[in-house]
Amino acid sequence: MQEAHLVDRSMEGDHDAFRQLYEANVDRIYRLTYRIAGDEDLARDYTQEAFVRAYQRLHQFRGESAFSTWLHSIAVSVALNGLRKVQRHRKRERSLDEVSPLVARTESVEPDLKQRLREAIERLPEIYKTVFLMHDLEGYSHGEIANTLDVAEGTSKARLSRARAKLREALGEFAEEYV
Amino acid sequence: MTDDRFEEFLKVHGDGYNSPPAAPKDAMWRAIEGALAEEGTTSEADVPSLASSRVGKQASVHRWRQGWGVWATAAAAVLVVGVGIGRMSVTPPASGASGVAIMPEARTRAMRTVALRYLARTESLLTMVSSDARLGTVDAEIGQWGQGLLVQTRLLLDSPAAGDPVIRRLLGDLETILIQVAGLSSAGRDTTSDREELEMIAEGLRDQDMMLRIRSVIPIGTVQRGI
Repeated sequence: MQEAHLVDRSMEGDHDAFRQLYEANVDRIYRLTYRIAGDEDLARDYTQEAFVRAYQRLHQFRGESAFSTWLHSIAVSVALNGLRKVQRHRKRERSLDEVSPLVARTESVEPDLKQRLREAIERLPEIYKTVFLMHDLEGYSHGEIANTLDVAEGTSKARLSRARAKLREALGEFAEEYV
Repeated sequence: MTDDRFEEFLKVHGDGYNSPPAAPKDAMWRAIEGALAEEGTTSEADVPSLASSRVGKQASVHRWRQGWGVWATAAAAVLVVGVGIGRMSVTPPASGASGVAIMPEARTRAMRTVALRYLARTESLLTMVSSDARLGTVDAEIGQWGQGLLVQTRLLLDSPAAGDPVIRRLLGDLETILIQVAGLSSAGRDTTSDREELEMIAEGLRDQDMMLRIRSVIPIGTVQRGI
């Protein structure tokens, strides 16, 4: 059944139609929220909240883009906003830890390549990181990313290029791995 | 070095970054249904849902309510009638009898439906509790939502649905947790003591594997099929 028809039926209160929309999209939405959050519970919460919000706002969906694109916009927004709150909370916790002399510091002296890459990705500014995760790790096209983030395709490409440049800079000492 | 080589390098080595497991699709769907169904069970003034209260009321929600509202009314009726009938019909066995009171199949099925629906909604609430505990916030409606489910827990504990020892033990543990949740401020005050209490509740949920126990009782597709 066509997506537009399922949306129409969902708006009329057809639970089965909404379930079909859910089944068609949930894997990609969950994968993306997990890439952003890095935590099963958070990814699950964000995915659920994205679908709840999508249902509540179905009447706002004008069909100018695909439903999946619209849903991705909601999911990315929910995940990024949710993660900002979590990070603020964690930052406060870290601030408390830092004043305690009993807290053991666990910095690795010689992090391996994967660890260094992970840290470099973590440090990417959010706008670059989101595009990097979507394009390089999850295989979204620049067109899909542009529609999801409501930016021009050129902006998506520029952000990805910037993200890669920052990662290359951070991984300079491992250059022999990719030259 | 070439850009292509570096891109390939990033794709290979970067794939391990937050590599997603399989999506828990059925569990998430139940939570979504629970959140939306919960809206259909309460008035607009006291909607204790996952996200609805922050977003507002829209036409689609009202349509969902029409569907779920019918279910909610029926479930409440079945619960009350089922408990009543259960109390009347499960009579002490006559001396010398086998001692097993057999419930009519239809009523057993109805009670099971009510219990499973209740568990799905409780799972949604406890998911919200865990989420709020992580975020350090206390949703003003959590306490109120917990109170409603606490009443249902006690009704179910008195019903034939609690004949299953696994369900009965689960209901008993949930009752303890819901008493704590129901005690959270319902006046919208986000107090320090409420946040601490919420963290203790979340810790209790983890210690008792509560979410896993609930999900293990709810068969996959239960809510979708309306069983």
